[in-house]
Parts: sequence; structure tokens; C-alpha cells
Amino acid sequence: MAKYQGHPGVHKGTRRSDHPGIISRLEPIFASVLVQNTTMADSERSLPFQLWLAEAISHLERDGWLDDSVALRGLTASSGGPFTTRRDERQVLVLGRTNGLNKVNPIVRELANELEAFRATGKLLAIALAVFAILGGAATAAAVLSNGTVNVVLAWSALLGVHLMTLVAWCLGLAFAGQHLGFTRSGWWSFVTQKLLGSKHRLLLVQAMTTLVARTRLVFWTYSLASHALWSLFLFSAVVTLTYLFALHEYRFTWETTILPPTFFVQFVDTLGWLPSQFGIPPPTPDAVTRLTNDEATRQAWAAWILSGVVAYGLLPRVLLTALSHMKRARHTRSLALDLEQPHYVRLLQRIDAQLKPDTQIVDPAPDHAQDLSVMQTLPSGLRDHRTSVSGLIVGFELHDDVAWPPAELPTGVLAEANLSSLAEREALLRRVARTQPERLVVACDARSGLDRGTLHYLDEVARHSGALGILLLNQATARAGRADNWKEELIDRGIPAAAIFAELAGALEWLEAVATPAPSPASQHEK
Amino acid sequence: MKNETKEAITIAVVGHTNAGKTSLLRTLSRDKSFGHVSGRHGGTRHVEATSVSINGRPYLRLFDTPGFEDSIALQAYLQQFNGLESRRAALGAFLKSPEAEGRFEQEAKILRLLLEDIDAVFYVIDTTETPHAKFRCELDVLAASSRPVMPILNFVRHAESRIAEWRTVLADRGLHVQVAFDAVAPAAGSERVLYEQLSALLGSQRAELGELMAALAREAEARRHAGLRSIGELLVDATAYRTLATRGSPEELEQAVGRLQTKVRARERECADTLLAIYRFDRDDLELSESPVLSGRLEDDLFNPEALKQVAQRLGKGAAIGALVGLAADLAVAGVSLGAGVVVGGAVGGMVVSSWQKALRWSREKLNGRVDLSIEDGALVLLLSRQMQLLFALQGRAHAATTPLILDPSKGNSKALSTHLRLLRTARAHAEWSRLGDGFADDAQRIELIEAIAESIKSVADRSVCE
Repeated sequence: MAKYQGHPGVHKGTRRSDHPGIISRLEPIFASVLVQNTTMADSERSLPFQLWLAEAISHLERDGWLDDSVALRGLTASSGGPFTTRRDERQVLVLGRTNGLNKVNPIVRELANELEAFRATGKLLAIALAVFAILGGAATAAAVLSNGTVNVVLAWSALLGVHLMTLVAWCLGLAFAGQHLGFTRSGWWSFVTQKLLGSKHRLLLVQAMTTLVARTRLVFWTYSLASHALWSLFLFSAVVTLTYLFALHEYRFTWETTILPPTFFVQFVDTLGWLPSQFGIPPPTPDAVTRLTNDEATRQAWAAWILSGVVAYGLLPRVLLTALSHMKRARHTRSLALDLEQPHYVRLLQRIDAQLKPDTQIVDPAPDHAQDLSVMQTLPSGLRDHRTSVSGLIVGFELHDDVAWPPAELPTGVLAEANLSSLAEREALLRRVARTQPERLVVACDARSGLDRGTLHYLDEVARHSGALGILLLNQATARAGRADNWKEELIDRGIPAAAIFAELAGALEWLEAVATPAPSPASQHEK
Repeated sequence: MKNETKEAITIAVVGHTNAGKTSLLRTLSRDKSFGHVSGRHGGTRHVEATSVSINGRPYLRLFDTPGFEDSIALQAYLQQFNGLESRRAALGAFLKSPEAEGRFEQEAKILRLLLEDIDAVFYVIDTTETPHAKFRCELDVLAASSRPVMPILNFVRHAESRIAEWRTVLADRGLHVQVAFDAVAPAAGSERVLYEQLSALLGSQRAELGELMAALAREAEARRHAGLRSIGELLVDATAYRTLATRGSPEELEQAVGRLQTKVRARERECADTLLAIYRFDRDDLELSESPVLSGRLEDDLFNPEALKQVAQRLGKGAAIGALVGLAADLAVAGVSLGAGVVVGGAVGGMVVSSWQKALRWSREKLNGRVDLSIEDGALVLLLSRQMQLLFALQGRAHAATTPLILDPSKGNSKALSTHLRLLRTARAHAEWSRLGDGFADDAQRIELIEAIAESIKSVADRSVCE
């Protein structure tokens, strides 16, 4: 870090990088500063954060999809509206999946945490650089005024020389395709940051950010903002130090030369004093310059010339450019979006569409197919809303052959589903429950079977979409020793209250009917 | 009376048995597993509903029906209900009659559906069949349902299609808004024509159908763009890849060549799989193996002698090229760092130095007698040509020209070809842009290059469309 103080221009990433790693050293700053920092609640992240995470997930998924069934089920298709506002509904869906994954998938949560760490480190580095800029400005000013005699030309170039050159370089960059400020990568840099950040997915995150901003000018404007802001701090601190020193020391101002004519210096002072004189601060008179008088008025004029020069040619442009960069950057950040015409996103949207579209349903079945899971017994009038509202749903899960299912007598309003066991049947039920969101749902299980992780996972998922889950544990008496108790313990551990575990059908039905208000029909929920 | 909160347009798809209704619905709803198609008597037995949806929102709700099988007898049976106030009422009366659950149980399902609040009816016609009387009976029965009917003429591409006869029959009944479709091998844009005709038939739903068509067009464009980018990425990966071998050791050289070829083949396969996935195909799809254009593209070997000969002729090289793998000319520093789009300042410094690193590596390897192998232009041309053919075939342009477009020696294509090769030259200097090698690093320039290649391929594709 000590290098920065000696070469104030270097940390702006411009011309004089004598080390290829300098730019890449700035990677984490750029990568993190690129993401706007807004207040973050637990579940609400800023849009750029979500975009970055979505892009990181897509890079991760090059080799295969993540297990996103839960996240996909949590998505809802947009409910419509005028066509023009639906243009980015695809991005809304993809981000919905991203946020869903963030909540349930440990890999994605890890990614999100590393993103946060990245940003935090970036902020830290930004602060560190700011501190160095301030110190650098003060140090330069102090160095310039280090002894009693001030060589005005040298002072000027020390204070403003590098700044002006970097400003010109930036202008050239602005003119000629500021897009390709690419992130170069060198081996030792990744080694160092690996040790520093210790983040497994560091490369992935940087690549994700590259892809996200690849075809925008966001990188350029972020770099500009950083550069101008740091220079502003530098110059501001220089001005403050100069003022302080001018106030409390007495200096003699002089110029020296071996080969230049004196008129050069008169010209120099005059030209550079033009801008401050517009604001009413006249430069030292040519006479004073030539004869190097040392009276108070001249000294004050010189001091004013230096100070106003630094402000007018240094601080002011940089502050204005900082403001401009900030505005441009904000504008580019607002218009940041996922590029959904990538093969990965096209396939992802196909999957989402397949998940969200209404299921294929058999309406009016052939006579020998009466008891299919997805069958509706009659053609619904109206034909369009296939979500019947039920107050209670009772489902059989992996019941043994000798259990009579569905139960013979059911109270009205309670619907029984057939005995589930295959994947297709499980998925169908999950989709149905996700759509209808019943207030109470009872799953009938057989206590004689062992309880395994798959079953628990499935019950978790079912519980996620219903108001309350109850378990009807059949055949507890005939189960092997300890199995019924094992079931009950595990279920209670998972958060199902003991009162919701039933041994008899009657109890379960009573519980189902005890719903206070019937679940509102989904059709009415979508009323405009 | 239309319900105000109606969300999707409902359409019943009817027709004689095995006319291709279920295939049509699979194509429209993009759901390969919908229903079941069987050649034997009795395909669809239920009324099944599926939908055409965009981003999960259903625009169209389509009902597949069992086919009409006994239409002449049905029409005769319907005579007894003739005296009622409308033909529709006659159908209602029929549904209450005993034979509606007996002999005409299948037809009753269809009619029960038609009497619900359906917006339109697609009547699917197998045009390879002669227009017998039974089909006219079906059309009469449909007319009785008082729903708008749109005939869909299926199997029009078939050699035995009798499309003219059918057009006469339909005109005879005043059914002029119709669509020629081929559900198994649809031509590009035929889906759009179908919805346009439907929108002519259903004036009141024109806005929704317009939205649907716009959304489908956007999806098609996104698919095409994604496909082009996939090809572009394949080319960049293939071009940038390097592998080392010791000069003067033939076995090592052969091994290195073999390695490169294997990797490029595998990468090409990956690209082909991506294209298939984008167009919702699977390598195991029945339709795929039945389409010679598609399966041909997938099975041929990239580096086979025939292909080499063709390319050699095209590129004007006399003798056949051996392995299409050549010695890489590691580009001079100047060619890399001062290309267009490089920002002044540190970036130049960075690139100059990294190119110096490359130059150092190159000379060190020269000293050790090692050479860099990379893929030659000829193989790139082949890669591009094969993948473009595949993309065209997937887009439904199955009737594309038999000579691979890229190798067509017309002037326009030569220019395009040299543009592609020129663009790829940048990639040769950046070994880290290849996913096939170690040390892959993505950066903005690579992404720009892929986009530029995709654009230039697209312009070739647009120009050589022969529709």
C-alpha cells in the first residue's frame, strides 16, 4: 500500500501503471462498488445485488441445474396488466427464483454471503483509499511548502501536474470506447486475494459481474467516480493544508531558471491566473513577477494565486466530474438488467414456464379411468378456473395395501386424494397444494412404515404451502415397538404440534372441519 | 355471454380419429408428453386440457378430444331431434338421450365440450384422406354447435396430400378462414399464421391474440439469439485453445493432435446439445431420429476425410489438409494490444505487459523445442457450417439447401466467411478465452467478440433464407 503515496496517479489506474497487477488489484473495489449500497432488510436486497446473484447462479449452473423445485413452486405467474408493463416479467420470474433459492439452498446462501463479504471488503478498501488520498493531499501540500522559499512553478506542477495529466487521459478514455476497461487477471493476484478473502467462489463472482456489465458503460463510470472522488479528496485536503500553512507561516515566493527567459514566467503566471481572475482573484502583477518583490501584498497575491489555481483547475473540475460520474453511474445502474437471450436463461425460462403453466388435466375421463389423481369428475362449468376451493384436504401417503383409501365417508367440503407413492403423484400434489393453498391439510401415514429423510422432506414441502399440517398416523397399535413413538417424536421435532397428530380418522376430520372461515376461492382472489 | 374475468381463450380441437389433433396440441403447447398418440384404433380417449402459455400465463386453453369415429350414424341419429328451436338445442337434447352413453359415448364427449363456453373450434383434417361423406357429416355437426370453426389442414407436406379437394369441400361450406399446417414438421412461421387466422375468426379476441403472437415472436427471437451466441462461444473456445507438444517427437505430436480433436469434438457436441435444448429437443427424441437433416448433423464426425476435402477445395488449398490442426502463429504484441476498443491508460500498459509475458513464454518454449498446436481455419469453417445447419433445421427451415451454406462459393458467402475468420483471429491470441484449456478467464472483450460473431452469422443467415 505504501506505493500509493509515492505515485498518486497510479491508484487511478491510468497511464503510469508499471505493473499489470495494478488494475486487477482494483477488481474487488470495482466489483463491489459497482453494486449500489442501499439499505438491506433480510429478505429485500437491492436490485443490482439480485442481478449479480442471479448471474452468479447462472455461471454456477453451467454444469447442471441446482435443486430448485421449492423455489420454482414459490413463483407465481404475473397476473397480467397492460402489455407494455409486462416486458420485464421474464426478469421478475428469474429474480423470483433467485430469491427463492437464496432462502432455501445452502450453496446459494453461501454465494450471497460471499457477495456481501466482497462488498464489505470493497467498501473497506474504498475507505482506505480515501484516507490515503487525504493523507496524500496533505503530504503533498506540506512537501511543497516544506521550506520557507516556494518555487512557484514546481509547486504548481507538484500539486496539479499529475492531476491534469490523468484528467486528460480520462477525457481520452471517455472519447474512445470506455467500455473495454477489462478486468485482467494475473496469477499472483488471484493467489493473494484467495488468501485475503478466502472465498471459494471469488472467481465465479468476478466472472458473474463481468458478464452482467459487459455490454454497458457501467465499469467506466464506476472507475470514473472512484478516480474523481479520490482526486477530489486529495485536492481538497491539499487546499486545506495549504490554507493552514499559509495562515501560520511566512513564505517567500520565487522562481528560478537556467535556460528559460523571464517572460516565460510572466506568461505562466498570467495564463494560469486567468480563471481565478474571473472570480475576482487577480494574479500577481507582471512587475511583481519579474522583480520578485517580497512585500506583503505580493506574498498574499502569490498565495492567492496558488490556492485559487488549485481550486479552479483542480478541485472544481474534479468535484463537478464526480457529480457527473455519480449521475451517470446511477443511471446506468438503474438500467442494468439481465441479458435473457443467453442459452442458459432461455432454457431456464422454459423450465419456469413448464412449472407455472396450468397442469394438463383430464376433463371428462373415459369410463375406465375414474380414479386418477388429476381427474375431475365433471366438466366444470365456465371451464377456465380449475382450482376448486376446498376447506380441507386429506391425502394418503405410502399407505399399506390393507388400508381402505380413500375413506368411505367424508364430510362435505373435505376432499380426499388418492394414496401417493410415485414421484409423479407427489409432484402433482405439491403443485396442487401450491395453487390452492389450503388452510388445513392432513396427510395420512402408516405407522408401520419406517420414517425416512425423504418422507420428512416431503412433509416439509407440503407444510410450506398449507396453513397448518396435520398427520393422521394410522395403525399405531399394530406397528412394531417404538415406531409409532419414533414418528411422533420426529414430527414434533419438525414443528407439528402434538395436537395435530391423530390416531383415528374421525379426529383428523374434526380438525379439518374446524377451520374457522372457509378458504377463499382463488378465483375471487384474482378479481381485479 | 362472455364472463368478464375470463383469462384465456378456450379452443376445442376436434377431428376424425388419428387426424393429428394430439400432435398439433403438442406442437402448440410445446409439451412433448401431452396425451398419447398411437397409430392403432383409439388414441385419445379423454377430453384433455392443456394450454399455450407465455412465462407461465395461459393465453390459450386447448382441449384435446377423442376423435369422431361414427359420424354418419351420428348424423342419422340426430335426425330425431330436428323439430327443436335451434340445431344447438338439438345437440343438447341428444346429450340427454340414451345412446349418448352408449354407442356414441365418444362423440358425446366432444359435443358436450362444444356446448360449453368455448371460443372456437379447430377441426383437424388429415389431408391424405379423401373427403368422404363422413367428414362432411362431421362438419355439419360442428356447424350445429354454433361455434366458430377453423379447419386445420394437416399433413400438407405429405406426398399424398389432397389439399385441393379439401379446399373445395371447405369452400362449399363457407369455411374460408383456414390454415395449412404440418404438425410433425411445421414450417417456420406456420404457428404465427395459425394465430393470425384465428384472430381473423375471433374478432373480439384480436388484442389477446396479438399479444400472444408478439410474445411468441419475442421468444423465437430470443431462441435464435441464444443459439447464435452458443455457436459464437463454441467458435471462440475452439479457436483460442492451445496445446503443447515437443517438436521432433512424432508420438507426442500425434497425441497432442488427438487431444485437441477430442476436446473440440466434445465441445461441438455440447454446443449441439445446447441448441437442441433451446429448441426443446432431446437427443433421444423420436422426431429427431426421424428427421434426416437433424440426425445427420449430430452423428457426422467433424474431422472426417470427406469434410476435409470439401473444405480444402473451398479454401483453395490444393492437397487435402491432414488433421486440420496447425501450428499456432503466436501473434506479435502489436496485433493484440492496439486493436480497436482498447482504452488508453493503464489498460494499454496492462496489455502490453501481459503480451510481453506471452512473448517471453513463446520464446522460452521455442528454446525448449516445444510448439503450440491449435485448430486451423478449415476446421473452424466446418464447425460453423455444421452448427448453422443444425440451427436452421431446428428453426423449421428443413428445406434448406443441400450444400452447406458456408461452403457455397457465391460471392456474398465468401465475404462473410472471411469476416468470420477475421473476427476469430483476435481469439487466437487469447488462450485464456478458451474453456477447453486451463486458466479460463472471461472478460468484456471476449463477450463482445462472441456477440460480434453472433451478429455476423445472423447476417449470413438472413441473407441466405430461401423462403
